[in-house]
Amino acid sequence: MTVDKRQKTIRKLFDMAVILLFPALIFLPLLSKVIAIEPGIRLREKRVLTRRPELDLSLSGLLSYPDEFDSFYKDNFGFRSGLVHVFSRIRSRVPGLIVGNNVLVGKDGWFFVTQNRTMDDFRGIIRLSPQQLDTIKNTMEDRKEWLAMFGIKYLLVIAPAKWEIYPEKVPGNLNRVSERTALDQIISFLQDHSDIDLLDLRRPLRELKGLYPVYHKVDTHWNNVGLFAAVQEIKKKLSEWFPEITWDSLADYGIEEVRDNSGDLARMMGLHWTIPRIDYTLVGKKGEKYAPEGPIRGNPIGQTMICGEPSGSHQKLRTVVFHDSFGRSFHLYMKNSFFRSAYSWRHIPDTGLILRERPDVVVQELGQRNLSETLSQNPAGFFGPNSQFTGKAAKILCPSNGRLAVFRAKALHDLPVKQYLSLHINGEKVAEWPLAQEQILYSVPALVNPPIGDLSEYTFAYRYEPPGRSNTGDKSAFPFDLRAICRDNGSFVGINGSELAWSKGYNVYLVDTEGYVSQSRAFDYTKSDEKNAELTEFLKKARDRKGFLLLVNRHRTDRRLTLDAKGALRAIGLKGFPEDQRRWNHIALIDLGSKKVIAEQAGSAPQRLVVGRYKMDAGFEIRSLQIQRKSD
Amino acid sequence: MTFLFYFLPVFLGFYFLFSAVSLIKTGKVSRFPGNLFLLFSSLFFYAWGEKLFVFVMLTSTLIDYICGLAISGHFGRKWKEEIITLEKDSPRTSRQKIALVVSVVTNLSILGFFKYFNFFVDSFNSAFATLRLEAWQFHDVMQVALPVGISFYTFQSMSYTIDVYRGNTPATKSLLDFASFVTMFPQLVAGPIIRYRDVACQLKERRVTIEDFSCGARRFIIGLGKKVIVADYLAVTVDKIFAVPGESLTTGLAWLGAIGFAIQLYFDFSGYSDMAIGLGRILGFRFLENFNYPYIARSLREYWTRWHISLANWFRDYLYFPLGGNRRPLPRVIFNLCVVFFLCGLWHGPSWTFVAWGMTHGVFLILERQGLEKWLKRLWVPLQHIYLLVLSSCIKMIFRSESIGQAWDMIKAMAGFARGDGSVYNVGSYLNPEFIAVFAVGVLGCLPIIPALNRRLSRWIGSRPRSAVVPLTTIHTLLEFSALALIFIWAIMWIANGTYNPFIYFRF
Repeated sequence: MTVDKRQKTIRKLFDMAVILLFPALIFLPLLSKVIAIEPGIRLREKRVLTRRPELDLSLSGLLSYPDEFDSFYKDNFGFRSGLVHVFSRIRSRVPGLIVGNNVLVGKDGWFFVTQNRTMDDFRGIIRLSPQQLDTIKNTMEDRKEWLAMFGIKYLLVIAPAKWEIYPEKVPGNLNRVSERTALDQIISFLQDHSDIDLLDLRRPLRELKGLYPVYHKVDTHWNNVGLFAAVQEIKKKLSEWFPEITWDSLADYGIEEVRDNSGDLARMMGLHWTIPRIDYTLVGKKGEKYAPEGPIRGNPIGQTMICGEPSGSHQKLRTVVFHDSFGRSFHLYMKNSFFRSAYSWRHIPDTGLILRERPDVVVQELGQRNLSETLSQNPAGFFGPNSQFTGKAAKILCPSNGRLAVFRAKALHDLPVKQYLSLHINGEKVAEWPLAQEQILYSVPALVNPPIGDLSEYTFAYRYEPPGRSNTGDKSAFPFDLRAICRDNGSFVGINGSELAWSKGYNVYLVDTEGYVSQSRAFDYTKSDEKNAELTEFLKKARDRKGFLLLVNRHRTDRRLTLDAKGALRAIGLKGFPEDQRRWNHIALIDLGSKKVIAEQAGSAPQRLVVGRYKMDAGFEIRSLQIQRKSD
Repeated sequence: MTFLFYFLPVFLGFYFLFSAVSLIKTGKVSRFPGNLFLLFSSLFFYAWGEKLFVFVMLTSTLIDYICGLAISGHFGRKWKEEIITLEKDSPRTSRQKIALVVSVVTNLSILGFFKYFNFFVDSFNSAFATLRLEAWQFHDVMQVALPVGISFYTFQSMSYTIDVYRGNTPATKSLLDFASFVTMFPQLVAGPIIRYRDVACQLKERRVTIEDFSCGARRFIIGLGKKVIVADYLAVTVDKIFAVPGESLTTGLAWLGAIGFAIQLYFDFSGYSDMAIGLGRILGFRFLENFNYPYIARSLREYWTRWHISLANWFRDYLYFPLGGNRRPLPRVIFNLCVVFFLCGLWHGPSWTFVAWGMTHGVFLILERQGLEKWLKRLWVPLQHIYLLVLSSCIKMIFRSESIGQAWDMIKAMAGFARGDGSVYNVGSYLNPEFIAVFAVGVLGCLPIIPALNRRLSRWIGSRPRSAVVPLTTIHTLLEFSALALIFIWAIMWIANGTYNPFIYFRF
């Protein structure tokens, strides 16, 4: 064969190769849906991937089908996981790139989050306005004053961002215009203009990082060592107020490495199965171990966990801690310093919880992200003791002929305190009415002297009486009615007003003797032995608790329910659990003391589960409880 | 996503399955079932994205088909009789004239209504507001949605009736052929604007060889890579730079934004064209080129022979020449150019910045015609290139900016009158190894360097001793193939990456 012919043959082979390559690559994702050729990489995005839409032959159905199908196919085309994974893996090695869902690749295997202008804060180009700083100051002062009225102290703790502690790991292309971050501005403003107690953890953590790793490389948060150090700093600060609080030193502990796959930044890149998160178990001298908590299950936001009341404890102190993701494991190291401690995952304090717990101190932990927002809002009910109202709680409906006025008023928030509305004329109190929770109409006839004329001279005042502390172990009954609402979209809101879960799967809640959810787990419907084991484990731990167990199973079809909840419940000795548990919208309430089902409800909407008076095996009584569906 | 990994493989599979018999027999794709399947697929494709607007497209198609027949005078004759091209110089009957007017008016009305209705209402309202004639303003006017590709298919089908009228091409009897031509999905969304006379023969039957398929696939892959890897990537940074407030811009940053945008626009648009031309080639069509390295031009006039060629040709043949072109006295030529570029600007989008962009082109073309180009020709060649690059970058600022004011800020900063000190927004903070690499690829891709190198390499291999030619050719081919595969896979990965959206707790 001549050289020319050979060259032509090579060219022909090249053409054939391209002809194979092109269709192969565009066909494979489709083909993998028909035959299983895809490697088993799962991204686990912690969200339900869009399901295949059903074709509705009406005009509107046909018109909306393409978009629905597009979003389905976007989530489900073949090799999606593998492609995302390999792509992120390659790019995650180059510092300075933004990989996956807004993750910045740093130096030496460190990663940073770029959302919420965090890297702008690193560069020092966020400038808070005087108004923003003033709002923060006022909000914090109101909060402190309100708590002081009940004799409660308030400590604000800021969990530093990773780049504050490890700025040298941020890629070099991000120049720092100034090292003065938003947090610095807030701290110096509060120092100059108020007496808010703010704990800045940056210095101790920076000092510690030379000895131990204190933050995760592939997660935004501190690791177990950083957490331990942060809590000890909090305790040090609290001991200024409560000398009985002691703290530990890291020097008394050894550390053991543990690995898991729950790095949030790794997940944002789709690499959590490739790049493990390294954490440390603290081992004390007597062999006591403090292992890091595992990955988060279900939606923890708004959940409250109550620890304590150890028998024979000489501690008297109580605390309520409001925290975000940084503080999710505070209880590990805090609970022993308190007689009772409550940990609630929320940015804004829950007044109901504070008034119920009546702690000695409220600790609020917030991450160094969006501080100007998270520090600028108080919950309803945070008013000074003699706040004047202008149309907020009282509204004049119908001033008439100088002889009659009608007021409409509503008690604020869900506070368990007595609330009053008073009417003042020319600065003098002429009448006062106790407010109920619901809206009330007050008619004020001619008893007011002088008769009502020009309304601008009238002011209303609102006040409440702080309740006495009445929580010395009185657990004979729930202090409130327990209410929970299941929404049509599958989310489940509220026991005692707190947001609970949003998962569309199988949700298990452990409710303590005071009506608060102390633990919960959410499972989606995909079958896995791992999940069954986890459920059984959870239930086993719950078995010896007091209180009750709430099971909520929300799903629209029963095809995919394969989680063996029934088996798990039987395995831990729960009696009388319904045989047919595959029904959707199933809710069951189980007394953990007697291991019996108190009430259950299943079937299609609408539904409502109501429990009247019920004597719990643990010795307390439910006054009333209702769970109902609610449209969104 | 659905297009690349669902529609396209299914379409290609069936297209070649249906055409298998004729392909094996004659090596050609025939009208049945080739065009039929193409037509239905295109309509499905368009209806998938644009829903009921598919009927707008069908209406325009049907009217132009009928007008085409009317112009050719085929009505009243036997259907089987062959349609012949009209004689170029013979006078046209009033019936033919009416049919042409109907076609042009229909298409322009469709385009005007869907694309410009709201724009004109808003413009009138703001004009009346300036004149303090608020009472004359229009209120509660309906909001018209813009169907995708309307600017392309109306121009395509209009070119058909005009060409029939002028005697450039015979009208077609086959509605199937004509509808396949207007609705053909590869170029429906973003061009190029194809003319009926260029593809008339291929609509009847077309040859698809292994070389065609391979060449088309390569072209598609390169287009996809241009769009996804370069244009979309640079767009992120360019958007950030254009969001920088005017008082913080630095000269370096403005230039980074300007060059970045020039590359982004070229790669985006020519990437689309490459994909369309490539897909067309796979199906057996040979569309004309739409871009020819516009940034190596040495004058704006030359630039317009290299940039969006199909649009420039359309305006030249159907607007500029009928207006008299440049054979008229000077004032008339200036007027012609102004009209053409006013409309060309408006064609790009219903906004005054586009009009300003078009008009600036018009002004500079007039200047070039009036001697600027002659003067330029005498300059050192690199200076001629710099003239074009600087000028087109500045004019592109108008294209990209939200307002004329923003464009002016950018141009001032580029000229060295930047107000920012570079402490907060500076070039360095936008650079990372990947950006630099993509930017470099972008700059290289704007120049005809890679094809030239490739040719030179082939020639060099050919000049080696006979024993070395075959191994060297093999290596060369393998390299080319690997580069293609890499581009394709990397582009697909970028697309997949865009769908990844995990739920993370720390946001709370």
